[in-house]
Amino acid sequence: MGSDALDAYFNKVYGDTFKAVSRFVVSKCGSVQDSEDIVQNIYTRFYQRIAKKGYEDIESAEAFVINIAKFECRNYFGAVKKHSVSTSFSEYTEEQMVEIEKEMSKEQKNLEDVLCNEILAKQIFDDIARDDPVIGRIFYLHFVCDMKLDDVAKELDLTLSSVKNKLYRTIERQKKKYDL
Amino acid sequence: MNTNDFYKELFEKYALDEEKIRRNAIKAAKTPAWQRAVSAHWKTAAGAAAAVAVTVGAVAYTVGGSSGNIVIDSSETLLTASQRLHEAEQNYYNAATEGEQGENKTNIYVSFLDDLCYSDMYVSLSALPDSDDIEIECLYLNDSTVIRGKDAVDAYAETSADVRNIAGAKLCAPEKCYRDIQDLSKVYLAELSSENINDETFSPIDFNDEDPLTDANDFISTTASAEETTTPFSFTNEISSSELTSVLSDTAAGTTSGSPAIDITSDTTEPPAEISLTDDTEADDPELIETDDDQNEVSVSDDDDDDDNGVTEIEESETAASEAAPAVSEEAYETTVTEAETTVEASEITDAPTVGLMTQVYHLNVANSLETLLTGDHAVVLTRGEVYVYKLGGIIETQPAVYEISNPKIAYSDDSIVILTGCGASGRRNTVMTIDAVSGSVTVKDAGESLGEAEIGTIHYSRSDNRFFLKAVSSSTTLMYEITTTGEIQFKPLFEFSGAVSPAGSQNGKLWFTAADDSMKYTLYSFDCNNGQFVAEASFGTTCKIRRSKSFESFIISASDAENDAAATYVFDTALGSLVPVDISGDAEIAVVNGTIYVGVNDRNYIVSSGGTLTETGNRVSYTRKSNSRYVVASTDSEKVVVAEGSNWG
Repeated sequence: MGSDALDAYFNKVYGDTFKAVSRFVVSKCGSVQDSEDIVQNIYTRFYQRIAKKGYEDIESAEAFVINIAKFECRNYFGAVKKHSVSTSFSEYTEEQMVEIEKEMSKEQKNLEDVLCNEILAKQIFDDIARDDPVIGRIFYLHFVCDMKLDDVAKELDLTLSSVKNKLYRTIERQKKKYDL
Repeated sequence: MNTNDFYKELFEKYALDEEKIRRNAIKAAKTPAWQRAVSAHWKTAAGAAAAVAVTVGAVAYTVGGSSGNIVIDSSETLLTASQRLHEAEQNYYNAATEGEQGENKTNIYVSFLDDLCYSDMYVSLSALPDSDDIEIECLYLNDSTVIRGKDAVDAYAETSADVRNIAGAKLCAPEKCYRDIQDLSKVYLAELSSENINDETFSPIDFNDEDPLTDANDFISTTASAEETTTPFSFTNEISSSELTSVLSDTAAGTTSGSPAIDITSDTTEPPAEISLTDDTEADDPELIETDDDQNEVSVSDDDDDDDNGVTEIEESETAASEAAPAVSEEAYETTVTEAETTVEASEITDAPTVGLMTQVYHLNVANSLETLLTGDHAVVLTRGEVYVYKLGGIIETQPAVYEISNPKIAYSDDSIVILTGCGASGRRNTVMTIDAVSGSVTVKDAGESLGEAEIGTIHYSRSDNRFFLKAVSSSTTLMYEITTTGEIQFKPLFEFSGAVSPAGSQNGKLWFTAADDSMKYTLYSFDCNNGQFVAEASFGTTCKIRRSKSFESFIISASDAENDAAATYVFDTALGSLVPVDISGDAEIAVVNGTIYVGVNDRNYIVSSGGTLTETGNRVSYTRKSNSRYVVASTDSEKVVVAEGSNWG
């Protein structure tokens, strides 16, 4: 099989499945940052497989890649040491949450400037991703994968209230910390 | 743009880089398995950036050896370690903003985390996306040898590929590779070639050096003269390919160091025995040394004991069990909050005198820190609403784990565990957090359900019984719990007592405590944790002061007599398991070391033999150790905490 054809097939599958695979990995594995390595390993395996045995026998590339993802995630859990988790001790009331949700929908000009400031933006991302790994996953699944918070809660085996509290508390903290 | 859009874009941009993952996946798939193994060790760009940003290693490089063939010119001192790190950090960020435009080749000087063998280094570099464009131009060995030139490097690779002695390398690579190189797990610092970092000046950072000269970052300078310190970056022993043959044979045999063929060239340059904190230090001022000691003192008064209806639980202390005598070892013991005196302003540091050799300095970027505790290999920094746990040691400290806890206070600490208490949503102090001082793992327990209206008062650890006791108080009762801290924190209720209780000690499964009756006369009780029975052991008058040992094994009671109000002092005799009168008066403290009870009173120190006989051992010593850790807090201000490592500090 020609290398160009192989790469073309791989790139197509990659483009078609990346979202689903990354969503699967982020929801199953410890942190957003670990997920990057895991996703890379998954596609490395996939590439090696199709390079070695071709891809004619693969009916559903997505199902195939997700199967590899399951395997990689099992490997990950076998190797990863259980991390401590952050716990919030005071919870927002429903009213406070509604208020925060409203705030989040308001236009804020300075946010674009923050994104343009690569160092600051990266710092904010790191702050979130490195704090409590669960929080990074919540952000990814909700904002990048467009999952509703109750779906995120189900996916992460958390209560909706817990997900909302973690999300909103982090947003509020970043707001104060970085004057967002 | 609203907040939702902002976080969507932020995470799309930084969370999982779709294009980078695709590129790396293909690259890795096409790389042989043995080379691919290193890809798992890649750090994210974020990790590397953050690590560089928060780390100040003590990195000055001292050339050893005694052959003296090449004299190091001390005037060559160019950049301090922190400046190097700072410059590298700036380059890292600049590379980020410039994107992947930099096709121009440049020299990149690399310091590795650990000494590598050539094949490891090669594998590591091979994992880079543009590895084909990277050339290894120089190798810097851990014995100060430089192997310069492609031919010499290739020759070295052929003969010594498995010798783990490469401390650094000079690479010629496209500018765009700089960040990727910095991100490699085996790389400690990648530095772009510059006026200051070049062939003449570069030497790899050796952060494992036990006795490096601490650089002059911010407030630290060496006391040694310029002539003595030499340059941190002179790499003096250069070997051309023609000289290489004899070197390689020795190197491969593991005999490089000291081999005449290697010809390590520096004159003997001893690192200074001490460093001072600034040039204008008054090095001989002992009072200032005291100041530094005090900053690390963990013990403070126990303000929770104010509830105890007049029973004053004074400080408790004890020498470390591992030490032979209290005069040698001192251990902090207090069971409650460490106050602000654990910190010292930067200005005080600046005025401090000569102190011991420091080997590593960490800047912990915690704003508004209230308190810092160093224990095991961790720094625990408290703010009003959070606890930051930093792992120290190694090359760079990790990013802190951050835990939200309202109004945290340190309730107990030793070299194994830190126990904090915090306030729950109700505002009551009913949350317990434990930090494993070794692993850094954190467990949190919201004990609101167990404690109800009560709040946590004090926590005591009985060394002999290996039990933690927690006292909680409400308006009218005292609740006593035993808590387990391995795995999930669990509360086992022991008893509820009407009125205030002052725990005194615990031995053989019995918890000893005093409590006052309605007429405010005190009784010493023992509570058998196994069968739940109380026994009134002794009765006192209306005055009763307890001073307990850190180990919670023994204690001193200074109390008035129940009948005639005459003052007397007793020690809990751990051998007899009962109180014995001792002939001392005054403000005493107590410690138990390997079963021996020591008492310090007035200006004398005594051993208490079984039965209460006192044997004077000399001048009084303080039983309070200044720190739990080999690390010390050098300074704390509103922006950051500076932690230093130093075996001879103070």
